[in-house]
Amino acid sequence: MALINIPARASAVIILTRALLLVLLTARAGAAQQPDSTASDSLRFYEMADVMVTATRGSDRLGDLAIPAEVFSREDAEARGAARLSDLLAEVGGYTTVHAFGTGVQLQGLGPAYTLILLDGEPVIGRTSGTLDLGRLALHDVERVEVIRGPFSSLYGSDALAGVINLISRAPTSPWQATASMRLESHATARTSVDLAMKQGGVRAGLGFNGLRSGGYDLDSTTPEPTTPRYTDYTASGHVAVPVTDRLTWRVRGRLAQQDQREGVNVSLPPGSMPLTALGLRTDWSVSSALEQRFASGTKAALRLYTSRFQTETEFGSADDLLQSRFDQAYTKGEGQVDALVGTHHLITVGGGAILEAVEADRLRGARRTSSNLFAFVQEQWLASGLLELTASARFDAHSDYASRLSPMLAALVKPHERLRLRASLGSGFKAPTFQQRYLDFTNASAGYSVFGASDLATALDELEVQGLVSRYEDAFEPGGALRPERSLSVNVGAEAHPLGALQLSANVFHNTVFDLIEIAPVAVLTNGRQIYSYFNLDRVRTRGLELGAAVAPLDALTLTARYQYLDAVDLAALEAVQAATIYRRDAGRDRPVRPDEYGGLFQRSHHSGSLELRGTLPSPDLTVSLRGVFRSRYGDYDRNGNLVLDDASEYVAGHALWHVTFTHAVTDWLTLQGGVTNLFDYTDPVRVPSQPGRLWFGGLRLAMSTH
Amino acid sequence: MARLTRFLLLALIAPAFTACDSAETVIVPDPIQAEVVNDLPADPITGFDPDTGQPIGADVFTFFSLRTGAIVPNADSASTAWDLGFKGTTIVVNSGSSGPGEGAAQVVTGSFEEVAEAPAEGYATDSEAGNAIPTGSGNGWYNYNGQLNLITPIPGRVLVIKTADGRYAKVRILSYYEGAPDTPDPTQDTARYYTFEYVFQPDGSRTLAD
Repeated sequence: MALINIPARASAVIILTRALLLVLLTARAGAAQQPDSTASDSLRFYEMADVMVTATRGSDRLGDLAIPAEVFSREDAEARGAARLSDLLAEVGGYTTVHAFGTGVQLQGLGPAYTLILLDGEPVIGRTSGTLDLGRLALHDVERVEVIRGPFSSLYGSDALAGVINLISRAPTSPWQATASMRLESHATARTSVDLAMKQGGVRAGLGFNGLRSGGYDLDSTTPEPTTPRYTDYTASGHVAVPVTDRLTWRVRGRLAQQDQREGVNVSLPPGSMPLTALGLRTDWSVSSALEQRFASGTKAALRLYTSRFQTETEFGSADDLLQSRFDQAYTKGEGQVDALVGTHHLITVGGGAILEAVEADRLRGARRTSSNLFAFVQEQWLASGLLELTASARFDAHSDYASRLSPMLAALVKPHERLRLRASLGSGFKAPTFQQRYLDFTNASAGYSVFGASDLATALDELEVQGLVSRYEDAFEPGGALRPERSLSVNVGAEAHPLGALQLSANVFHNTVFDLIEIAPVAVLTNGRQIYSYFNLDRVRTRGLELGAAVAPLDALTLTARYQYLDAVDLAALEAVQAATIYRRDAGRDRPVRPDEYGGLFQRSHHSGSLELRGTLPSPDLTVSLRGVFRSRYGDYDRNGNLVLDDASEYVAGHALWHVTFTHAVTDWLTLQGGVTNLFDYTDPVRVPSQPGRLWFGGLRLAMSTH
Repeated sequence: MARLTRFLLLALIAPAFTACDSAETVIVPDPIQAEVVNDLPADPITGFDPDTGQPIGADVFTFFSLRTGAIVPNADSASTAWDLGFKGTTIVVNSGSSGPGEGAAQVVTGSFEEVAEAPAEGYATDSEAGNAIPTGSGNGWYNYNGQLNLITPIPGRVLVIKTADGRYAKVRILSYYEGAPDTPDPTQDTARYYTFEYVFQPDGSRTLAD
């Protein structure tokens, strides 16, 4: 097995890296903290102290952080009662959750496909239509959730256009420790988690289990199927860190998760058709192994191997005639990274590696498709002066399926005053074409069309040419053009001020343009009239806006946090067509061009959104109350008047607010009780927002024990 | 109900305008007025393919004459008696691979009223390689929303037609669902019933509005 080879390969790399002096800057980072940084974690907007590894790819950090970033602590998640990553982000302004093929997050107006999700620094795989379901990720053993905003393909490669969300697991802190929690909720939902951990003689290890059983819910009794069906979801994880020598650590992590929706759902189709049943099973697992060496000189080297698998099986059809489909994705990555301090003002990180991917699914050409991705990256952190700090990074990705990509990023931090920080960053991210866009092979004979993925288009057309089946090509089709990844150009400019000890303010202006969006377009017509389609780089979108944050702690035991986002997100091709008056709408039976002021931009985007959190703690009895409000203005859900753009009042979901409250009472050191209500005022919209189940109650307990 | 209301409105308004015009002009040209055809069946769905879930019909066109304003029996499908044929979302003209006539068509972007004259050039005929009115979502007269399984006419698309005998007409599709509901619900409403309006110029000129 490959994992066994690591120590030998690691030592070779490590020997090469002995050279440069690294002073661990934890002391410096500590000194740079504001005097008031002992306040609650929720006060920290873009202030990471020394617990932010995502922004620098796990390396040490020189000085402060030049890019917009934030951390949600374990205390944040626990005070809210957030069980899953989707629960946590849904309550924070600037993180709009969207529900299609699971719960994804929209950052800076870019959809779920444009944010990279990491678990302990390694990518979580398994996206459906671009969405990685954040409901897959339980928080019971997560120490903190780190978020960096802006394009980070310069460090992480594909998918990091809007930002990167990294879940960091809890590290054992006691010789023996155990936590367990149990919670009951509305809709016959129960959650259980058990975590065991140890720290003995330098060895740290842990095992965790999380189970969720949901009874589903039905908002519309006139349809035969429930709005959300019953399901069960289990996650088991384990980790061990062993000190091989004083300076060499070996870490292994594993995780297995499964969601089972096999109890069956009835799906309605047009009248007169047969009732159908849908069933689903999802399994994903991952294993990672890493060797980390810290040399006496301070230079740090790491070698990591990671492999993950994501499989779904679905069945759809009537009882005696089930259509089965499956999806199976495998991902393996090996990489090395070296961090070296040059002088006292430059910290350089260099790394590289390879990713191998394989996919098996229905409707893909060939039984199993494989691809490879070689990459190399470099990062420089430079303390130019006490006033100015710069970070620059770049990564080159060469992929077997699509055009190579160079992703640069540059960020600057200016500290004109100890209570004021100014940040600016400029970068470019990219998103690889999906498996469907690369390999799809689908023919709908009754509707008379076929779609071929871009990787196979030339081959498929050659085959059809040989058979003499191609009647004509579309005028716009240019043979031989390779599909490019979607790419972005992003700017973030922000400021963070601490005018008073108990008050923090932050502001960030962003502007993202995503080019080369991949869309389907006609290619050719066959002699039998069948239309051939494939995928091309066609469209551009632009999102721009403003993020504001304020946190105030008038009393030690009371904090108020407010966030607001203004967003303007448009499809640039649609905007140009509207300006050219070539997109029409039908008013009282007459067709007329859509006016530019009627164009509402991209669907699922609210112009205004925000959140409030009030958190107070009483010392005796030990009671924490967290009251949250989440607001968003109206947003488009989908086109209803046939012109494909958002322009009519009927295409909007009305603006709304959700309020949640959570009470947490620490009975003793080891027993905590928690109860609360989400969606206090029972907002529902069964037709337009079926993902919202309405008011939910929950209550449970948490046990925590440790030896000292 | 909506269909009845629309019909009554048209019935009331159309003569009123003509009456007004004829009162002011001495010589009355051949009137050019929009006709509305309601619920023309276009191979209605009879069932679903058990393997694919795709709807199935009897696989027959409904033929229509813009000149007479009436449905033409399928027995006359090989004649020049018809100008348009409807089957599902496909619309054919009497030409090339579809029929023996001089038919042709093109899709023009604009409001129905704005298209006052048929273009002189740019017409296509039906062939094995594709129809004059292209099929597929966004290509011709409709958009398809896969999430809702909904066919919606594209606003601002006018089908300019050459009839089987080479005269001009313009057509605007109003609905694909029986009864032309204002907000069709594909789970409730029956698809493959066209409601459309058209203007036919009988004098052979390209003029399509007064």
